[in-house]
Amino acid sequence: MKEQDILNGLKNSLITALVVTAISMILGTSAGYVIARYRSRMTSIANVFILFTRTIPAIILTFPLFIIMQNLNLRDSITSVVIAHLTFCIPLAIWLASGFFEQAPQLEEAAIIDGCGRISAFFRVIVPTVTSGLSATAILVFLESWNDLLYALILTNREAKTLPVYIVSFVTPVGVDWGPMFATAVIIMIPSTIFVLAVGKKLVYGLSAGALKE
Amino acid sequence: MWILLGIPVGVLIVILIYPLCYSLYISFFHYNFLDSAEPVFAGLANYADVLTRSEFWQSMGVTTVFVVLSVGLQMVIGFLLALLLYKDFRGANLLRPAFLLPYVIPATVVGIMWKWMLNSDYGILRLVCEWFNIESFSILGDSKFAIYGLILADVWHMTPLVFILLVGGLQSIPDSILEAATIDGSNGRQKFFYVILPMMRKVVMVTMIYRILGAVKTFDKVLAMTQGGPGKSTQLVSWLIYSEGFKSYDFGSAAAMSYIVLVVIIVFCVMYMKFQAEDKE
Repeated sequence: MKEQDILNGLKNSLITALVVTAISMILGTSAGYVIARYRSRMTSIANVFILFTRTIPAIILTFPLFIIMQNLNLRDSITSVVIAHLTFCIPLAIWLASGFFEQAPQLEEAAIIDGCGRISAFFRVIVPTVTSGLSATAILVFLESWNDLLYALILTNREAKTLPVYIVSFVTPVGVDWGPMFATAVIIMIPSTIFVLAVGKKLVYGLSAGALKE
Repeated sequence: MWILLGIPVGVLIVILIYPLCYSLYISFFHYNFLDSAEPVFAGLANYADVLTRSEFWQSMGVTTVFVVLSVGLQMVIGFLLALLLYKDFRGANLLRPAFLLPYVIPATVVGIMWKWMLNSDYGILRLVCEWFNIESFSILGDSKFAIYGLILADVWHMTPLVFILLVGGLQSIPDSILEAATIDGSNGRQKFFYVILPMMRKVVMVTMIYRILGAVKTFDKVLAMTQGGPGKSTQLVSWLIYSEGFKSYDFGSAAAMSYIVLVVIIVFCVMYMKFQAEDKE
């Protein structure tokens, strides 16, 4: 194990988590907004669907994803890990975002009467009222992806390994390489620690809103 | 507007529902990934094989013990801490978010950390054993105790989340109700059992379900701490499915196992929702 490897792992983890967060947030806020604002049979079906996807254990998807990525020649690529992480990060983002939009004041009509278009009413009037909730959502999504071990473990073997995979590779049948393993562990805890120290209160808010939603 | 919902749902269908169905499809085949031979249709053979295997039931048993003890302890400790700390005090806004720290640490890191602390030679376990004048022993190396090491790590990791969710619930109980109870002459214990507990019921139930679903999936800690051993004593069901799939490469029965677990989870959730619906009436 060399320095180079850990740096590579750090790079992979960072790219994966950032791309996953960006995609999940774009899809999550748009779907979350529609689910929160347009009450109809379609949206309540979508809501149950999202709830269902959140109960699926990750392990069940590992085999099909492994085979699919193998067939697409995507194994050991960051793309494959990103796709795997999206399977649980998009539902999480939709779930949290729809909760925040439900609490937001219904100002769209007023904004449209005042001459805003639908799209700009969304971005200029609604989004600013939920930034706090959406940033909590983004951080929680980032951490879910950053902390994941299972998908990264089965989909990568050298090039695209993320930091959690490096950590467990220090546990070998011959023994455990404690020093480098904990050095990697410290690196991996940096973002989580920064987030908690900087915006801990916001995260508490996001977590309670997400878990205790009706 | 519908396109805003359509795209995300479409993406989920491609990356989530399609693999989920594919997994169901695999579970009906004798599918060994290393075999170059084409998968052979097996009907329900994989399911029959898994359901008659003692290893699977043993693993379900271990998982049940793990989930019950771990979530149970998290709920009790989390509730006690929440009762102690939910009222505002100086520094509350600093202390409460600090409880998040263990929760945001990756389970892998929590696993290796406890593996180190529970090491019989140079872990903190040895010191604790010396206090009580007992000989230091390897918890994770003993098939009777290893599961408790795993539970300890999980309780340490997840109690903070339970705490934070329950504090949110406690704070939403209006002060006026508690005051009214005080005026009516109820003491602390009565207030707890007749006011706080009934009002917290829903939050407690939701938190518990949330944690049970999480605990059933536990994988990272098993890999970091025990790898299912010694023997099969800590072989939680996710670990069993993983080794079936990625050590023996028997994807067919691994997929069948994971579907059985999914069905158990769904039945559990439906029972819970029914129970909740009856509760509302």
